[in-house]
Parts: sequence; C-alpha cells; structure tokens
Amino acid sequence: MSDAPHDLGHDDESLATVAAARRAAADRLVTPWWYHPVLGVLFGLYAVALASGEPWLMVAGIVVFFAGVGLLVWSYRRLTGMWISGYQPGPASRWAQLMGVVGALGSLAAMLLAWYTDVAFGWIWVIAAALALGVVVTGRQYDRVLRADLRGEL
Amino acid sequence: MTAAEPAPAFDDVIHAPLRLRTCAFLDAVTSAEFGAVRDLLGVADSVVSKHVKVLVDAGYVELEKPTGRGRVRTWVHLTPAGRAAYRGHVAALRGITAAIDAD
Repeated sequence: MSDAPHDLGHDDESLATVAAARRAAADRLVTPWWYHPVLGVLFGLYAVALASGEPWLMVAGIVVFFAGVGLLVWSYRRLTGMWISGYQPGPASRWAQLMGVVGALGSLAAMLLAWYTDVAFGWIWVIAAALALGVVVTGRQYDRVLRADLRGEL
Repeated sequence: MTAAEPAPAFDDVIHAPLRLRTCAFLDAVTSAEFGAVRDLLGVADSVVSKHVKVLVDAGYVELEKPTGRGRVRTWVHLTPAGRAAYRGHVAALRGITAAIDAD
C-alpha cells in the first residue's frame, strides 16, 4: 500500500485491464463436454454402491468415486491450465453447493429406499440416473453463471 | 468480485499494468498454471517470472510445483493477503474514477 501519487488518467485504463483479464479467464474456462457426464456417472455409481448394502461394494464405490473425482480434477487442470474451486465465493458457488446437495440427497434416498423398503433394485438405478442428470444440469449451470460473472454480465 | 469488498487502498505493487492483469486473472480463479498467466500477458517467461517474483516477495502470490514424473508445471495462486490487496486496489481505482466522473 502506498500514498504515492499516481497518474489518475490511467485509472480508467487500469479498470479496463481488470475487466479484460477476467474476460480472458472466462474465455479459457472451457469445460470438456464429458466432464459433467463423467462426474454424474461417478455420483450415480456411488449411490448404487451405497444402496447395495454389500460392504465390499460400498468400499469399492467410495474408492472409485474419490479416485474418479481426483482424476477429473487433474484432467481439468491439465487441459485448461486453471482451477476454480466450486466453493470460491461468487454467484456461481450456489450451483456447486446445489450439486453437493443433489449428490448427498440422491445417495441418501437410494440408500434408504434399498435398505428400508421392498422396492425393486431397478428403482435404485432410476434414482442413480436422476442423480447423474441433476449433477450434469447443476454443473453446466455452474459453468454458465461463472463465465457470465467473469465477463461482468451479472 | 462478489465477496465482501475490502477497504479501498491503492497499492503500488499491484498497480503496474502486468501485475494488475496477473492479479485480476488470479483473482478470477483458485489457481492457474504459469503458462496460462504467460498466455494472458503475452510476454516472455522471463518477464512473467520477474513480475510474479515481485508479487511473491510482497506476500501476494504463492507458487506450487507439484512433484511427479514428466515436465514440472508451476502453478500460481493469490494468497488471502494478495486477494484482499488486489480487491482493495480495484476498489480504490473505482473510487478515484467515480470521483473524477462526479466532478
């Protein structure tokens, strides 16, 4: 921080520089088309594994889920040269939070239905598919809002 | 910028055009690869390094060099102090331009 005088005429230019840098970040944020579908499938398989009630399958489901998410994040960082945490404060973060809620509630619903009702296991796959779809929708909405925010369109 | 805005505070370390662009870019992300910053600035690696070092020395930026096989990619991110200083600087710029516009 400094109280040194500076060229006031350049302040508008500086703010334009800031806006341009944020737009550049938005332009570079091109999520691969397969990113959210793969994430949705990971969530869906995780829910099915938990609902199965088989200890080995539940453990395998958890391991595959976290390894898969780790691999997705690694791929995204490598492809875009950037990373934005879904929990970084901003208008888009509510969509990341909603994705977490969809994932948690979907998995819980699948688990409770399988464990405490006589519903056919086929319905668990239906819930898993709906969960995967919810992850894709919230994930793509997150991307849209994030890019609009960076471009100053919100 | 959508988080709580810090108090306006003009910052000479950040105000240099290439460092301001670097901070604006890094504020938009959680972290970025050195090459992404270089692409944004459109200057040589050595120039980026020089300006990033100034920001590192000020405690505004941190570098990560993940270990592993293959080419090591350096990642850059703003520290909390750097993010606050950048946002305070932008708030100061907005205040100055608003005051000029009001005159």
